[in-house]
Amino acid sequence: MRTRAFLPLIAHGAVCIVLGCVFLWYGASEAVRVGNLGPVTAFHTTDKYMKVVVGDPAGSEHLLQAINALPEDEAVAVIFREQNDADTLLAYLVTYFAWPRPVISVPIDHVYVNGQRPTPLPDQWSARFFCGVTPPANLEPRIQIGDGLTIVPRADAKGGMP
Amino acid sequence: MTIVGLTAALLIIVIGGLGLTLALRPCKHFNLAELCALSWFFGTGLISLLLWIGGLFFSGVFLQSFVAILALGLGIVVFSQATKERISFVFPYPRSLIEWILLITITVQFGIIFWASFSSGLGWDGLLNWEIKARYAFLNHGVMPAQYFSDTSRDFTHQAYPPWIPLTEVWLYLWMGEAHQFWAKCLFAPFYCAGTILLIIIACRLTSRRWIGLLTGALIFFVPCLTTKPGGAQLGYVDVPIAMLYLAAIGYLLLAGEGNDPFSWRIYALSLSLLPWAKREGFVLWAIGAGCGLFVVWRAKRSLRDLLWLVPGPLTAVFWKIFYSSMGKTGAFEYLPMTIPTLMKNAFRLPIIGQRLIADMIDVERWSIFWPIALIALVSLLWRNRDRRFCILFVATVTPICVYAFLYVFSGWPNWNTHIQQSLSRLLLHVMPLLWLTVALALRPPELRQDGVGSPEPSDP
Repeated sequence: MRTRAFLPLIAHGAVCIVLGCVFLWYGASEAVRVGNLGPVTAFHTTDKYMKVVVGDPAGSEHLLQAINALPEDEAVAVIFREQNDADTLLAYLVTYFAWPRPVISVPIDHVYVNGQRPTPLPDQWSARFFCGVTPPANLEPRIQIGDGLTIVPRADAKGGMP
Repeated sequence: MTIVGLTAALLIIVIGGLGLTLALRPCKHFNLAELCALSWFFGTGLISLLLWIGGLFFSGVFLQSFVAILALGLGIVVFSQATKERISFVFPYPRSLIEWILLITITVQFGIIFWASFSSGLGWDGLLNWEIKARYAFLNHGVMPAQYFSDTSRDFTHQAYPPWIPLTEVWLYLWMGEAHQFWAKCLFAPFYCAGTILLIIIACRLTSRRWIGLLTGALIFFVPCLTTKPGGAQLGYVDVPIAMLYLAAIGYLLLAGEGNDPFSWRIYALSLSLLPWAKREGFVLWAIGAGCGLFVVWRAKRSLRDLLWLVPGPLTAVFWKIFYSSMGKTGAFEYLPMTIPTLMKNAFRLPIIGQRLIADMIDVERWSIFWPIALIALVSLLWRNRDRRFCILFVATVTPICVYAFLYVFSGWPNWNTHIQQSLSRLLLHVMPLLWLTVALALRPPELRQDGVGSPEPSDP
């Protein structure tokens, strides 16, 4: 009688142990993979992203330096391919650092309803940021950040190049 | 200097939260770990709300002083009142070898989460939804700049999202004197730790078994989605904090329903009221949690006055909505108008959403076998005790999943499949810690008659 009374307890324990072991088997194999600590820098995350997308480990500082040389009251244009995640991330990073400047997004592969891509006029921006896109050969001056981000300030923009 | 400022900022958060927690008038013997965990949640809520309200009138050093004085004042006044009332703080030490092993395991896990948090960067949303707002507010002397809300070129940062996390990050930045992506991450691991502590405490109280609480707290670490995947504790997303807050709300509601305990009810209400301040989805969780609260008031014959405690949640949401609208924006663009014609037009999505949901739940790389275990736990509880606890847990865990899945019918993304792919796991995360409470209840051995097996241990404070 006593064994019968314990049967539900034994069954309960057995089910819990089996499920727990399977859970731990899969969970532990995917559990936290700890990397190196730091670096303890103000641009900890954006530098990591910049290193991945343009190969420049101090990309945030270089980008910020270039942006700070541009007038704050004029927009910047960001040219990228929205179908490409790395280019989109780069465009967003430019937008992140460009504050308080408005940003004109120019996704070159975007399909517009009327088939025509709006092109911002030169007097609307102080610089163009080519994110993963090669700028036309005649555009000068240029600031290159890593391999993939080219900045082309408007020739008469206040501040100009850093 | 950065470290000194950071320490001061964190201390003020905890002191403010401590004041708010003790102001809810706990019992004479208060669990110290519980106090710390609740202080973290309420402290971040308090500081972010004060920064937002104070930011309407002040900026820079004045704003910083305004928030610091109020938070410190609340903490000091309420703490001195609590010592006058002879409230004692106790730390329940483990009583057996198993409990010691589990406690040490959990402590090591907390260390790993902190390490993982500081060794990885902020995730996409962590940077471009949350930290970006903190950076802009810091550059504008602690106040979210008005032109940011009307800036269409920054729509991808979701300006409509409430600023619980960004304003808490701003608080750190103001004290450090710089926007610092590395130190901003010290906010997120504590949410995981505080939530796990509350899970342990609530599970202990509901099951009357300390080892079950500790075991549950140790197991939650092994859900990959919580610790390694996008949305996890180390990436600076709001999903883990919101999930832990929801766990606290429903967990304390269960405790309030069992013992008619006014303190648990107040903790439930305050946790619930922070949900709409965390994320837009928080309002869905608030509505479900409030529905469960109404059920408890009805079944436990509590005073209707208790419902007044539910008011701050929607009030915060409404004021945020008014503020956001006054900034020149009328709405967010992720969802189509929620109308019957849209529903009829997109009804074909429902089976696909269901398939995606199940596929996500059985993805062992994301969840291990958590969802099958949670299902078995729910069925086990249904079999063993179809009581008020089960009803609340069932509604509080299943309804958000159904609502979140249903909302994809109205997704305005050109490729709504991508919308599901990018957000479903993170939304499921919102109910995951609460489901661990279900697992804890199901873990409790079946009661045996007359022979003493299954009788409760003495309850912990």
